[in-house]
Amino acid sequence: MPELKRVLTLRTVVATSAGLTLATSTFVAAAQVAYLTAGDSAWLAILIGGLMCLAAAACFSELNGLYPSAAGIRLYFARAFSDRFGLTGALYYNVMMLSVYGLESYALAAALSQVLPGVPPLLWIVAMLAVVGVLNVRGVKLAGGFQDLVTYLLMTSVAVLGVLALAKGGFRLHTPLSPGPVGNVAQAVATGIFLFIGFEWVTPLAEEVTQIPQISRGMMLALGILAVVYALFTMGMSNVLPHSLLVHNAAPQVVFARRAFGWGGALFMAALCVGASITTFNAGLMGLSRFTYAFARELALPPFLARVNRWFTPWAAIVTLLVVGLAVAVAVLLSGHYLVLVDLGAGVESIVYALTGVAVWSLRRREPDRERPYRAGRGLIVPLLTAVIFFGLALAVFVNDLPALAYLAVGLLACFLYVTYAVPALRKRYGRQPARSRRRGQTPVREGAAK
Amino acid sequence: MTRLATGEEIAESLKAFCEGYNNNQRLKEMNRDWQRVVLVQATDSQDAFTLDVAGPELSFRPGAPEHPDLKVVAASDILADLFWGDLNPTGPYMDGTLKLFGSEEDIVRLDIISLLIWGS
Repeated sequence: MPELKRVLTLRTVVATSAGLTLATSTFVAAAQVAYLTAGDSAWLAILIGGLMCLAAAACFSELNGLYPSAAGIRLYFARAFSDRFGLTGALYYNVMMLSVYGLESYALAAALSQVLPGVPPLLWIVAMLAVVGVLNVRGVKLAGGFQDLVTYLLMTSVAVLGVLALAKGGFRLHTPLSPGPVGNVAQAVATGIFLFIGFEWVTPLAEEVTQIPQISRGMMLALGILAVVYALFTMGMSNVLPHSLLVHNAAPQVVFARRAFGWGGALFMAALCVGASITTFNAGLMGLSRFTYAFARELALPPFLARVNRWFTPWAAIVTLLVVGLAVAVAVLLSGHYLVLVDLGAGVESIVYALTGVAVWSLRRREPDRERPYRAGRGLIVPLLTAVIFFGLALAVFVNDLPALAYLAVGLLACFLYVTYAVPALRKRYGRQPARSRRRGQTPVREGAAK
Repeated sequence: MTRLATGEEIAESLKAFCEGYNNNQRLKEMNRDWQRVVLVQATDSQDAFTLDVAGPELSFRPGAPEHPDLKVVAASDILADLFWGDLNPTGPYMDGTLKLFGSEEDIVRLDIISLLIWGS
């Protein structure tokens, strides 16, 4: 088959995976990991979390090779389990990601308020979402090269800040190999999963590369680089900030930068946060709006969400997502309960990774002869280990944060009921009868097509 | 299970798709700066076609282009039904029987073109 005229490079695959992951809210999670472990041994929890994510990345790679599609888990889970399961899981996952974006705008507002306290946080949130909304509605996407540059600069800057902070303390480490009680470490590793949340959102790029294994290599490289960057940063941060300041603060990274490097450092950190949020929002909200559009196209969501404008963007989906994102951000602002969203994000992501391992196992049984450009190791060790480890991590998160468990249960139940009752009603109301195919009277239904 | 579509049937559906596009003033206006070469490839019959989007004009020809911007790959009957507008592309895309390769923007745009021509 002829090759595509334009294909993505490994550099862009790595930048996309890391750019979606590195956000302002990840600094909050990094501080939480540092708080849960004793002193500067957070790097251990982060590296363990990163290694575990490598196993999940291997499973994603196998599924992505089987089905190189932007539909992602919607397609993987539908093929491995059932269409209803795939739809329920994908809907819930997207709702959760939207909550994370609400958290992200709140975290950015908190960071900016530290350096410009005269401006109310709500104004920052509204301004941020408005800018993102206009860019998305107009279909403006950061050029690939520029996005790559911003992401690599961000990662380098964060790592350098960590090293400089360590240098200021003469590289004296207090307890680098004593992370504390096992329970705390398990929770720290589970929370640490939030630091890598979204690395798998690079799989839609499978449609833009010539070699599927390039996506796998990109994901693995991004995870490795991020693990090192976060480890250096948390070590530097926990060296400078007292233990009590790592929590009860929605912008610990700015407090750290101010303490370590003065106001100049705080301003630089605020600028880094803006860059991190822009790269995350730019790619993330665009992806979410297209998922919403696709759900509306298959009548899993109301069809008005598939409305498009003259810039070929799904404006109704974008506006709806922004309104929901704003509501989440305002709720977090009013309640101050941002850590529950960190735990919810980490827990749901762990469940999705665990299910990815199960899906690999299931599809190897169901479709053993289908071509697999990438295999997650020989035998079932990697997929089953992924399933067991991540279910365990999800358990560790939710046992220690019951409100997050309640949000999970309510959200899943709502999605299940929605898919069971509302989706069939939507399809009955708006779906058209299959037309007689204009191909000599055939009816356009094919064996294996979506029911 | 439906039978395979012939090359002529796929060509007929592409002709209808092109007519729908070329008769839609809104689409032509929205796409005035969009230039893309699309490969339409049947996996079961090996029939291949080229869709040429030259801003406000859409045309097709038999045979594969050397370097397409976008690839639409599926079984012949799915392709024919898709370009006739008898099948919503989201269904086969979501169940993995329709594969699309190219930039995300181009893939979404092609779907929107289908939506604006056929209405669903």
